[in-house]
Amino acid sequence: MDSDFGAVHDELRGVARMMLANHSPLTTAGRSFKPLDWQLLASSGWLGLEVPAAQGGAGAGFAELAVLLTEFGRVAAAAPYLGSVVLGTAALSLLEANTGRDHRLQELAAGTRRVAVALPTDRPEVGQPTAPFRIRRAGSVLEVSGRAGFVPDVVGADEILLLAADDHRPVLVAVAPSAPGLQIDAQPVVDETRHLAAVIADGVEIDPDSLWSFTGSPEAGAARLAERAMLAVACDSLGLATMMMEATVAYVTDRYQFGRPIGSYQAVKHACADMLVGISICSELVGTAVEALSSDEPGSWVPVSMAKAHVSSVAVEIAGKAIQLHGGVGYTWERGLHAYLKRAALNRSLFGSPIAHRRRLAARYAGEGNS
Amino acid sequence: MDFEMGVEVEALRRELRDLVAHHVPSDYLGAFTDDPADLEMAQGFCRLLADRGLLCPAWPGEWGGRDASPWEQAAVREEMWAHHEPRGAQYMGVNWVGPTIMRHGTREQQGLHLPPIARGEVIWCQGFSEPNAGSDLASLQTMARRDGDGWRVSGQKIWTSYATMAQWCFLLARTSREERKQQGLTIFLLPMAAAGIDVRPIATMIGPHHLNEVFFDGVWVTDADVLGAVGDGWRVVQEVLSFERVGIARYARCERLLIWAPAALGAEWDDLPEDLHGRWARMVMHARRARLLAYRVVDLQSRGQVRPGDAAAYRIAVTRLDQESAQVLMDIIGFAALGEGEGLRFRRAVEDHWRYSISATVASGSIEMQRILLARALMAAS
Ligand SMILES: Cc1cc2nc3c(=O)[nH]c(=O)nc-3n(C[C@H](O)[C@H](O)[C@H](O)COP(=O)(O)OP(=O)(O)OC[C@H]3O[C@@H](n4cnc5c(N)ncnc54)[C@H](O)[C@@H]3O)c2cc1C
Repeated sequence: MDSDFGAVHDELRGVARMMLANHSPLTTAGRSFKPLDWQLLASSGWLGLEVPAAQGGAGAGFAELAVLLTEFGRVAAAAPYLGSVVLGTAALSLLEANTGRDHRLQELAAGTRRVAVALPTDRPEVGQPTAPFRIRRAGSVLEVSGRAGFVPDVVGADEILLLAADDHRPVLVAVAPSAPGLQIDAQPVVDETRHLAAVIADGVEIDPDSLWSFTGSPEAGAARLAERAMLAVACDSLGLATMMMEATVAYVTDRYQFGRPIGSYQAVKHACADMLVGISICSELVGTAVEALSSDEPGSWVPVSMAKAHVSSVAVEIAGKAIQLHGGVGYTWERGLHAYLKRAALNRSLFGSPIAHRRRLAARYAGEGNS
Repeated sequence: MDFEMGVEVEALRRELRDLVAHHVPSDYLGAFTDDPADLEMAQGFCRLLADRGLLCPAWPGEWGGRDASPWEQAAVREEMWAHHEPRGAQYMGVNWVGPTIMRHGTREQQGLHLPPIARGEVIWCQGFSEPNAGSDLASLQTMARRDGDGWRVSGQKIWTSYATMAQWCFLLARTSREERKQQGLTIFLLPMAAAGIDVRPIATMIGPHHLNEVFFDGVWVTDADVLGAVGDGWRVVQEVLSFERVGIARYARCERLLIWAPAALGAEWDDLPEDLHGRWARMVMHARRARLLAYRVVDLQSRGQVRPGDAAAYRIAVTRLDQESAQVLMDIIGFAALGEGEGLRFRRAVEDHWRYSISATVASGSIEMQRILLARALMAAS
C-alpha cells in the first residue's frame, strides 16, 4: 500500500471516527440501535464510494470501503450498509452497462434508493456460490423461484437483487419487495444491530429489462460478490474487536479492586496482551485480503477465506473476554458490550462459518480446490 | 445417559421428569421473563414438589425434608436445572440459605425460616456485592449501626439476583471497623418488606427481571435477625459461597441441550460439517466429566468435607463447560433452519443458554478469582 493511499485512508478513517463517535452502543447506553442517518451517509459520500464519478460517486475502490467498514464495526453501526452498498452497488457494478443499471447506481449514491442482494448464506457453501434462485422461461414470460435465507437489509429495501441461474448461468434479477409471489420472512437473530430475512420467490414474474448478465465470466462475478460479503464481515469484526480491546483497557485502568487497578493483576494483563496479539494478526489478514480483492488478484478467495475464518472467530473471543473483564458491569444492557458480542457472534456464522472456510482452504492445500 | 445412582434415585428422576412433562410448559425458559405467568408457574411448581417431598428430600425430617441421601438431592438439582429451573429463584433457598441457617441459626431462626423454604413458599436474595466490592467483597461498605436494642442498615448492594420477588435478604454488612477488612462483618436475615429498602432493576443481557440494585436507608433490624455471631460474618460467607458454587448442576442443562440437538435438527443433523459433530461429541464428554466432578463434591459434602478449593475446581470446570457448550450449540443452530415447532423451541433454548452462560464466569465470584483461590489451596497443601 503506497503512502498516498495511506494518507487518504487515514483521513477517511479520521472523519468516519469523528462522525460515528456518538453512535456506539457503548456511548448510547445500549438503549436503542437507531440506524445511522442514511442521508448523512449519502452527503458524506459514503454511499457512492465505489460508484463511478459519472454516476455521481467517488470512484474509489474496496480498499476505501474497507476503511469505512472497519469503522462501522467499531461502533456496531446499525445501517443497511452491507446490503445496499457493499453488495448492492457492487452487484450493479459487475453488470454489463445499461441505462437501468446506471440510473440505479446514481440513485444508490444519492441515497434515494436502497437495495438488498440475495446471495446464498444460510447453507454457506463457500466456494463457487450456487445461485439460490432459478429462472423459468415459458414462452415470453419470465419467472423466478427459489429461496435465500439470512439476507441482510431486505426490510426497507426498494428493490431486491436475486442471484439466479438462467439455464445454469448466474444472472441478477431485480424484483420489487411487493411483487406477487415474493415472500419476505424476517429472521430474528441475537444481534439487534442487524436485520436479516429469508427471501422466498415462488414463480415471481419478472420484467426482461430487470434481468442482467455479469460482465465477463458470470461465475467470477458471482464469486466476487460472495468474497466482498465475506471480507466486509471480517472488516466489521476487526473493527468491533479493536473497540472491545480499547474499552477493556480503559475500564481495567479505572476500576479498582483490592486497592489497585484491576489492570495491574496478571490474569487481566495477560488477557489484554492476548487481545492485542489477536488483533494484530487479524489486522494483517484483513489487510492482505483487502489488497488481493481490490487489485482483482486471481485466487483472492484464499486470503479472503483466511481472513473471514480467523477474524470472525477471534472477534467473538475478544468480545467475550471484554465482558468478562468488566465483571457484572459487562453484562448490563446499559454498558452496551453485549451488542458487540452478539454482533461478533453473527459475523462468525454469516457468509460461511470458520469451519466452512477452513474446509475449503484445506481442500485447496490438498490439491483439490481451484486456485 | 444417566449414571447409575441406585433404584431410588432412578425412580425419583422418573417422577421429576413426569412432573416437568405435566406441569412445565414446553417452551418454558425460566421464571424471570417478561411473562409473569412464568414466575407464577415456578412458584406453583415449588409447592407441588414440596407436597411430594421432592423439594429438599435430603433435609432432616424435622425441617421439612425426609432424610434422603444427598444423591437424591443431586438428582433434583440436575433434573430441575436441565429443564430451565422450574423452581425459579427458590433453588437458592434449598442450596445454601437453608443449609447455612441449619448450621449457624438459632432455634428460633430455624423454626422461622426452614419450614417455609421446605414448603416452597419463600424466595431469598443474596445481598453481598456492592459497586466497589465485587471480587474484593470484604471491602464492602454497607453499615449496620447499633441503635437501641437493634440495628440500622444503610448502604447499597448491587447485582442482587431476584430482589424484586424476594421476601428475605441474606445480607452481609459491616458492624464495626477492625484492623482487617474481613473482620467486623455480620450477616442479617432481613425482610425485604422492611421500611427503607428500595429495589431498582438492572437490565442485562437476560432481561430486566434478574439483577437489581438494592438501597438501604436506615433499615431497622433486630438482634433476632443476626445470623451467627456479630462480627463473624466473613467465615459464614465462605461456607455460603462454597455451597453456592456447587449448588447449580449446570452440566445437566448442557448435557440435555447437547443430547437434544440431533433430534431437534432431524435430517439436517447429518448435513452438519464433520468437525462440528466432533466438537459436539467432545462437549458431551466434557459434560460427563463435569458431572463426575460434581459427584465428587456431593460425596465430600455428604461427609462435611467440602473446602473452598473443591468448590472452586468444580465451578471452574462447570462454568467453562457452560460457555464452550453454548458456543458449539450456537454454531450448530447457525447451520440449521429450526424455524418452527420443536426446532424453534430448541433454537430458543440454545440462545437462552448462550446468553445466560456469558455471565457464568462472573457470577458467584469470577473465574479469575476462582483460579487464584484454587491455586492458593494447592500451594498451601504442598
Ligand atoms: C448473573 C449474576 C448474578 C449475580 N448475583 C449476585 C447476587 O445474587 N448477590 C450478590 O451479592 N452478587 C451477585 N453477583 C455479583 C458477582 O458476585 C460479582 O459480579 C463478582 O463477584 C465480580 O465482581 P464485580 O462485578 O465487581 O467485578 P470486579 O471485581 O470489578 O472484576 C472485574 C474483572 O477483574 C478481575 N479481577 C478482579 N480482581 C482481580 C484479581 N485480584 N486478580 C485477577 N483478576 C481480578 C475479575 O476476575 C473480573 O474479570 C452476580 C453477578 C452476576 C453476573
